[in-house]
Amino acid sequence: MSFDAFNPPDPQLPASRLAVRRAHLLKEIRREDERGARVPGWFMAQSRPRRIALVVAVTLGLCAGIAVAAVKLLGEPAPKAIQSDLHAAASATFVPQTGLQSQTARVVAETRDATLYGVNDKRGDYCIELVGASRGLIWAMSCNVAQPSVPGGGMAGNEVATTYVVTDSGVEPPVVQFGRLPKGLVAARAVLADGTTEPITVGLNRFYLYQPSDKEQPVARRAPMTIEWLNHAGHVIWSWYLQPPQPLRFEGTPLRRISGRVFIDGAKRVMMGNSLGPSASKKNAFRPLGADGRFTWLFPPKVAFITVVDSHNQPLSMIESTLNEKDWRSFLAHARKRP
Amino acid sequence: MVMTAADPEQLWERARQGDDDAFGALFDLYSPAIYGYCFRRTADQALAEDLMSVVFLEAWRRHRDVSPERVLPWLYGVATNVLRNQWRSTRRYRDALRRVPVADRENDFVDDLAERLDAERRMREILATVRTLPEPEQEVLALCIWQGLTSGEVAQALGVSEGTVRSRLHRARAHLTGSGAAPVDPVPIAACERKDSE
Repeated sequence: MSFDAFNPPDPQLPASRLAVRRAHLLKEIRREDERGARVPGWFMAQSRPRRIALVVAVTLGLCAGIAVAAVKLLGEPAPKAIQSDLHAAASATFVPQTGLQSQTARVVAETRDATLYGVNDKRGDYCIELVGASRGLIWAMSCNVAQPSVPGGGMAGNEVATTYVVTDSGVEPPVVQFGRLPKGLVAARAVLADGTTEPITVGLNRFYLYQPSDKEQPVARRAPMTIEWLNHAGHVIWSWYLQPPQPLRFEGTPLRRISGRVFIDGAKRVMMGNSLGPSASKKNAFRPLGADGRFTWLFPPKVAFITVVDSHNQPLSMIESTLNEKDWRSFLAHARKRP
Repeated sequence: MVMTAADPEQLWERARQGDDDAFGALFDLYSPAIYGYCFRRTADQALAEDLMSVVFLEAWRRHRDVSPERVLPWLYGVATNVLRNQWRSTRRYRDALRRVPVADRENDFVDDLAERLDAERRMREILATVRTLPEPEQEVLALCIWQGLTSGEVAQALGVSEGTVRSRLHRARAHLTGSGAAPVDPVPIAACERKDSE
């Protein structure tokens, strides 16, 4: 080998090149300084790792903000298990509702104790499911093809399969009402029986879920409320008169006992049946209330709904579906698994 | 303005306070050494010139955060990183490098083209052998033998212990002499270690 690795060539850069490079370097660092001057002094005073950490933190914050905004705008996708639950429940409850796209399931509105999920079908119609399992069990299912015609495609929570279940703890679920604003309307509010008005937060795609404040819960449990829909100008365009729910305790599969305590003003008895028409009082079964509003129904007839009625057998509570114990426990278990 | 006879560490401190001219003085002081190091690691004078600029731009980028005990070994450390990641480093400063005046470069090199080509050829031959060494040994060899740093300075530049520097150096020498690529010449290594013990 003819070379010496310990003695490599050492060419010098010509002085003129060094001068060019020096001038270029100083120009570049002054450019950097000018750019840096636009950055706040406190930021530049931090060490580089800290500056990087700050930038990362701000970037992550922005990403989180964007994610939150996206969830607000697009709705939080429901987990897979919920999507299939929802699909199964919708299919089971509303047979005509075909073509549901379970991957479109979203959280469309929430309150402290309940969540409203929505799922679309191929035509853009929807089914919704209301689930609340933190206190008792609230479960409701509705598909808009099964709804009475409402201007603008609106929907009220009363026109659905709903059940308020008193679970083993004996705690009653809170009152919640849900619905959907028609296109063109932007706000909703609740007017309670004591005259109190509470605003309603509108969720995704004009759906809303309203849970009266703790102070108003006893009022909402005792008497109907009015939900008002408002336009941009703040004018009430439509209103719904909504009966209170009646929490029920279901025992046995098949049902061997239904019980509950009624607080609703003017209530005389509990009616169970399959028809709400003019001949309802002849075909349906009734159970009187005790002095304290309690009732117990042993081996009740197999019927579709149950409601509290007045002395003329007019419904005073939501028309609720009956559930056997196996079914509500299954709903409860599913609901409690949800995030 | 060109500064002379200033302590490099003082110049660095002034540069940290935002004194661009002090940084220019550091460039005057150390650019030949950094250029030589870049050339000996690449065997390409044009590339070495760009890499030298990148080393000083990178040093400026970090000047507020670094207070090296000794500036030159730290600059060699920056240069070693730049050489390890040439593509990434030059990409970061691509726009800055585009702004280097080009016309002057051609004039500078016309006169000594033959000399330049010869130096590059000889360096390529050396690198062909040196590159058979693992990268860490190449770095130690280049810094200690070619650039004349002590093992302590090399340790500072590479962020390793002096013992590691010495063992890498001995392995490099054994490898080169054993393969017949270099004469058995303990003098440069001894010089490196002697300087270190001073």
